[in-house]
Amino acid sequence: MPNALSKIVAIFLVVFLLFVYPIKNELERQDETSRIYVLSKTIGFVDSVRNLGYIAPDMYENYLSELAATGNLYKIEMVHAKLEYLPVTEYNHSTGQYEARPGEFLKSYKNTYTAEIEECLFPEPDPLNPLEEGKPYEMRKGDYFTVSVVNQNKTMATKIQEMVYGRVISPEKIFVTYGGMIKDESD
Amino acid sequence: MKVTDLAIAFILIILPSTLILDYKTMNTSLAAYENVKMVRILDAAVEDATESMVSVGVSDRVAIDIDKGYDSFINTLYRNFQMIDDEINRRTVEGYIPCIAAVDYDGYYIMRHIEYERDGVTEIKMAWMPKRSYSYSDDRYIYSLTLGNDITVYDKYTQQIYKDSADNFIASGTLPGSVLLSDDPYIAGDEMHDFDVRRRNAIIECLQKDITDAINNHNNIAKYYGITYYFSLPTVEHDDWMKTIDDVGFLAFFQGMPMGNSGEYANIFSIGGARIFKTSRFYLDIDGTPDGTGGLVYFYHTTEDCPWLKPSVRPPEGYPMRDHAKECAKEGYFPCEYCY
Repeated sequence: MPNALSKIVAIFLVVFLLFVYPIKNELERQDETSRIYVLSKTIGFVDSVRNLGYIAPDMYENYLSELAATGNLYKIEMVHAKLEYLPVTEYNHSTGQYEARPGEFLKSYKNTYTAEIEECLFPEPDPLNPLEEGKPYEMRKGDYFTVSVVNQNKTMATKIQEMVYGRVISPEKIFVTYGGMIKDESD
Repeated sequence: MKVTDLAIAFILIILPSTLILDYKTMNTSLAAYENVKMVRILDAAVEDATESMVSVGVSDRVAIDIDKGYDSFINTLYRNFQMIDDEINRRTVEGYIPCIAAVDYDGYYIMRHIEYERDGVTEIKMAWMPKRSYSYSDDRYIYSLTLGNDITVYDKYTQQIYKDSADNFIASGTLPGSVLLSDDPYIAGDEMHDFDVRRRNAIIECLQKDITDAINNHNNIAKYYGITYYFSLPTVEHDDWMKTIDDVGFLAFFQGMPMGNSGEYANIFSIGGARIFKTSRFYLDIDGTPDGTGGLVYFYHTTEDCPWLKPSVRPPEGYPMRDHAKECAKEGYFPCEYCY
């Protein structure tokens, strides 16, 4: 039957053109929208932290639930670089000890990462004190706070692209990094 | 020809152009997104620079530390690019910054790339140029302007230097024949108003000239960074220039960075003001306005020219002023519905 082949080709074409291609396009648009959404939410979160000088548990929770609204799974990395002034030390051969060089100092940053910040916001329940609540993570003026967000799961668009193009595509579609200096401190 | 054949022919014709368009749209929207992100990042960097640059020194004089400002600026930029310990990429990013300007009360600093010889090798580095003052000159005088009303004047005839505020000069008539302080008959407003317009334009002109110089010069530098972008001063609205010189501030340009692979390049600038000199003022209407039911409403106004603020009853010493809307409200005044 000569018609059978053309019918099969036609069915494949119809499925591809009427379903797969428009859906792929729609989902790609959705990823773009999520990217802008995640960017604006991250900027909002970081700016409020920079202006306030602390991260309150509800601020962070709010931010997480806003990200969750996009339906993707994200890896969030927060970095708090704490500004420190250290003395400059020098090895003194005659005394065999490190001695501070007077009048000199060193500016350095000490980083604290997501795990420690989250531990402060949402502490492990302590059996002796089960009602202990998380407290705001405080920073000082001059410190730097940076958040970077990357999606972990393959978005629907990536999955369909993999199907159409027939190759493995890396899942990272939404990546945002934003940070800045802390402008105020809580007291 | 069957319908399916027609459909296949249609697809063969349409598909390539659709795919190409699709690809281009994706790249363009990525470029647009990158641009939004870069604008935000640059704004944050400039904000941080202004924040850490300004310190209030002895006797309430504002001192600016340009090196501190630059440190914060570049630090925030590097943190946003996640290259805090990536020396080579940091140098690359520097190539995209043709010019930075710090606006001080009585002059401005420009940071640009300079070439210099060291051990027989030419090196390129970003460096602050010496402070330039806001200068203006007419037939007889050379002026050094400030962001406020204080001016320093050199008289070419008598070779004397005067230093005072513009309103005192106008009141005392120390500077006969001064163009800067004269009243322009074609513009409404008194001498002070005209002086303010001329002062602002002169300051903007000075800044513009040096910034354009630095950006144009960057075309010679950029080739060493491997940047093939033609650097030129981006369009800055007149209002944005006005905003720059309202106060001590920081101004940064960021150009030539490729945005995705659509052939678009970043071409942005950011302005940060420290909000020290020009605080907002609110004028109180002490006489009150009839509210229509026989009572009086008291308003506070943002400008002295507000028509609701009756010019006929202006007290000789001027309307009482407050710095914050809060203070006005505490004293029982409402915001003016016309100008607030």
